[in-house]
Amino acid sequence: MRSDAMPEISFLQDLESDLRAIAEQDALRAPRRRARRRVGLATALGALVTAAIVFVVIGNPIGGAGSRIDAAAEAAVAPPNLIEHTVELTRLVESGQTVTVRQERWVATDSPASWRELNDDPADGGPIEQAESPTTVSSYDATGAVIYERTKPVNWKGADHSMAIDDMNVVRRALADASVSDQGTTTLDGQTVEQFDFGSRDTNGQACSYYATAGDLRPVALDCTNLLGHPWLSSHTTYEWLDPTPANSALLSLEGVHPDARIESAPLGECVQGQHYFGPSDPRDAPCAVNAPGG
Amino acid sequence: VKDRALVAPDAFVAFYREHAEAVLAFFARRTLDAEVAADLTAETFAAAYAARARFRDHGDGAAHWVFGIARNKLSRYYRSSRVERDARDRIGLPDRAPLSDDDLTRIDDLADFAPTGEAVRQALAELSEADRRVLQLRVVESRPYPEIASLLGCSEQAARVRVSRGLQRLDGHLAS
Repeated sequence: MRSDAMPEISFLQDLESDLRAIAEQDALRAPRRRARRRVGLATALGALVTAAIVFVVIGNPIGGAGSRIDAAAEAAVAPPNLIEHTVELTRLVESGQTVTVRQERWVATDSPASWRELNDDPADGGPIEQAESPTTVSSYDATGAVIYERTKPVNWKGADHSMAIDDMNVVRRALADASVSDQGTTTLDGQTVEQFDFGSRDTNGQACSYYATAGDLRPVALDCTNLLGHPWLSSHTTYEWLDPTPANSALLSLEGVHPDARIESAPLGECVQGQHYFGPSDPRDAPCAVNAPGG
Repeated sequence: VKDRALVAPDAFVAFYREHAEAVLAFFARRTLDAEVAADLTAETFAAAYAARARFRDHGDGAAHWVFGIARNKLSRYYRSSRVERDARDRIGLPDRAPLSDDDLTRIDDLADFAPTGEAVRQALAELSEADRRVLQLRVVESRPYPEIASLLGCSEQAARVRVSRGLQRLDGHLAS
């Protein structure tokens, strides 16, 4: 691992120079995008001021907004013993092309450290599938049908610590501190939903709209737009809560969805670089294979 | 909500410097070809750059993420026997120069084939003379099958079978 010294291999030095030049060029393009957005933002702010004046004059057409936000906050808390299923589509602009990345995740609502995630990013050359359980972290190699599983140390960050990032936490915080604006009823993909808009410090300058079911205000979707001009443009995440049937519970683990895969186990933190398990065919991983549970 | 940890140019370059050698060694050990390893390394970091806005630290840091990309690139190389350059084209990474002799030596050092070489030497020592001979001709000297058949005084088909069996026995010794 290197930290400050330049790589001694000139190919790596050249590659670093090229990547730096591209990164700096892209960073220069971002302010131009921001400038264009400011024009749109000014128009939007104008509309917002107009709407606010109308709101003050005619009163709140929704009525009881505070209680609706409270109700939405309550309904956004995941009930125990279910499986939260999310699909996130992120739009980005890379080298002038718009690319969509799909991330799908299943999380046990009563055990946030139990989840599986499938990332399908064109830049990765194929889907990357990972999972975590209270005792292991693992990834799946589709080519060899192998699950690389690493056992967490006993003192691993606490049993409830999850490596998954749950965007719903941002929504829950925004609803809980009432930093959302109730936009009333709207239609999303043909479904009647309630819309709440927010853009707190949690969102790093993003403007988000959260949609909940019209009846019981359960999560439906979260749309965020990046106002800062970074490479991603917007993300659209849909939510559903699944019952813990055997078939749905199987979605939480790599073993559940790839029952025929071979499992290569190793303790976490004792493999190469303390980070990554390359598999027993790599001579550097010999200690991991020897120490593998049951192996 | 996106993590922007790798979006800033300096952050991405620091990430590259931290993992570049390990990724290059990873490919060198698996492809046994420094030029291919260099191309795969460039393609991997181009893909990581293109995807940097979506990087999420799942607790085991960026190494897990970049080696996930590297594994996918390696799998696709194994399937097609060629290194794609989709990610390099996508971000506009220029073609690289051929590796210098110094770089070839340093990549060999980086890959540290010593443990593998010792294991292969031991496994070869346990093979019969006939197996060693046929593997020498085909694997080390890369001779075509008609020539191997002529040297061994057998049919081309028989030469293929002997090479195949020799490799299977070598694999068995390596596995044990």
